[in-house]
Amino acid sequence: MTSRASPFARAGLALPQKPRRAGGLRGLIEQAGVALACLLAWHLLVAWQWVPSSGVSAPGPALARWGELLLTSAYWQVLGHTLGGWFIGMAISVLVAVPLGVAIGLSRFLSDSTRFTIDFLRTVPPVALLPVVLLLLGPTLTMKVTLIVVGTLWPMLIQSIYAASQIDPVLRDAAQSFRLSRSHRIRFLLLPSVAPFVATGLRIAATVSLLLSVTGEYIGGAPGLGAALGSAELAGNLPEMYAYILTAATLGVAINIGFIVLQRQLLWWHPSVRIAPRG
Amino acid sequence: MVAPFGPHRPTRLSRRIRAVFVEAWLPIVLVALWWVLSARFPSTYSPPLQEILRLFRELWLFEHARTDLLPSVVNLVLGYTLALAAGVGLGTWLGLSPRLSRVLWPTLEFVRAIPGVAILPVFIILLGVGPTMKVTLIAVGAFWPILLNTIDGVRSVEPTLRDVAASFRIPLKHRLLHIVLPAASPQIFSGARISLSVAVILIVVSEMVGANGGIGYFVRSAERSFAIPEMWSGIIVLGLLGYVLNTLFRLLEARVLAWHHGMTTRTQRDGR
Repeated sequence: MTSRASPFARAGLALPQKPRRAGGLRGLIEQAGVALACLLAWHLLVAWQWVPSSGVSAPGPALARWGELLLTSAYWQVLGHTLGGWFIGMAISVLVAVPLGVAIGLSRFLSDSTRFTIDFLRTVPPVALLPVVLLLLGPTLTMKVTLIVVGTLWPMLIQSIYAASQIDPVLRDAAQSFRLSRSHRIRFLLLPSVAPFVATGLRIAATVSLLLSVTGEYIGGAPGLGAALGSAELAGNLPEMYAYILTAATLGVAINIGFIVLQRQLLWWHPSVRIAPRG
Repeated sequence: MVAPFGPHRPTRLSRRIRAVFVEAWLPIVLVALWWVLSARFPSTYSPPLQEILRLFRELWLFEHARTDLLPSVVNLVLGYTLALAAGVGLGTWLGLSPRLSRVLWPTLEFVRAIPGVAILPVFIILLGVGPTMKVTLIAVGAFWPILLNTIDGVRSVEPTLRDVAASFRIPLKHRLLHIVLPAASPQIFSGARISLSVAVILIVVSEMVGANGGIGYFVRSAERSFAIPEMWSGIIVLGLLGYVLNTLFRLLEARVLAWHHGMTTRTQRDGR
């Protein structure tokens, strides 16, 4: 049992398939048409009272309120709080997990020793610790960041361990027989082997991190998107609530697209990016 | 390094014992450290582990397990099953019709990017804080990873297989059951695994907000009333719940995908 099965590596490595843009402009128009049709359906559902209007705002007012919010500085502060926590948490996770994971993955003894511990800690739902961090740290940025680190550290760590244990032995022997210096070995052997797996870990962690950031704000009351959503809910301001939900979705999309683009840019040489997936 | 003198080959048994020992020492050391440190330096927020475990026995074996843990697990299973059925069903349909999935793609990407917690307020207003809301929230949150992975899996079925099935005019039902779904199942499983952890997060979150029972509610209200050891006992229960669910999932996956793992190791071996 030399290799550790990564729960993510197998399926995660391939980038999500990008649907071919057959038809170019026509395809684009069709896609926009579907999106507009969904908006219309949402509007009609509310207008015809098929869903209780106490809980669902019509899309018109929500979009209008969103437009107004975009012009306030408070809105951008809220967004900054959420993104700030997201970024700091992710950065700490990466800085801790990648070197540690590579070190563990390169040593048979360490990876055997940590297998059970990491496997157990990975499955502990991160929100379970929300009450503890809330008690210790209060509704602050630190609380949120701690929650994010607790939630994203394990997927990153597992991906890094897996990556380091998967380095091609032939390449490793070659590097040794050419007596590559340590820095060259890191630059030409370690980094290219580890990067694709870390990228997959990052993509998974980015989504989890946003979820935890909003959770820490909504339940824990740290400033940010979740807290703004909660106060709109308390005030019964439905359009504003929906404006913030739409904001959260936009943020999620932006993060997803951002990471896919980043992966394509940085890993252009890797087969998972180079070989266009079958459509 | 000097090789050990003479042909010294460890027996199977001793190797297995060694493997267990190597995996076990770290968790044992960590728990022992927690035990000693929390006993030596007890603080308000980290009570002695002994105390926590005593409460764990008193509370969770088995009185609260019935009143607080069981409802959570039932809601989780219900919501997760709904998500599986809907995700695999719709995903197969969309995966088989590339045009439809292409047209729907941007809309799906937008809707699935909504963090589960952000729609929680809507569900609370619409459905209250009862089990219906929790099951719906889990179903909706766990649906997306399964859906997207199923679409991807179905679309990447070997084209040759698809052509063969088409030229033999294999009826749709058999094509689905014997070609498409088996080929897509590794990817469906990896989506389902991500969904499982999302589902556990969402059940805890929904109970922390909704105020009528469940393990998340127990932990949150223990925190609010400063019943710190009780809170820790609940956190241990949550950790064990996560681990047990994951282990069950892994066993199921190993069983269902046995053919797949067998095939990949064989091709790897033959490829060398």
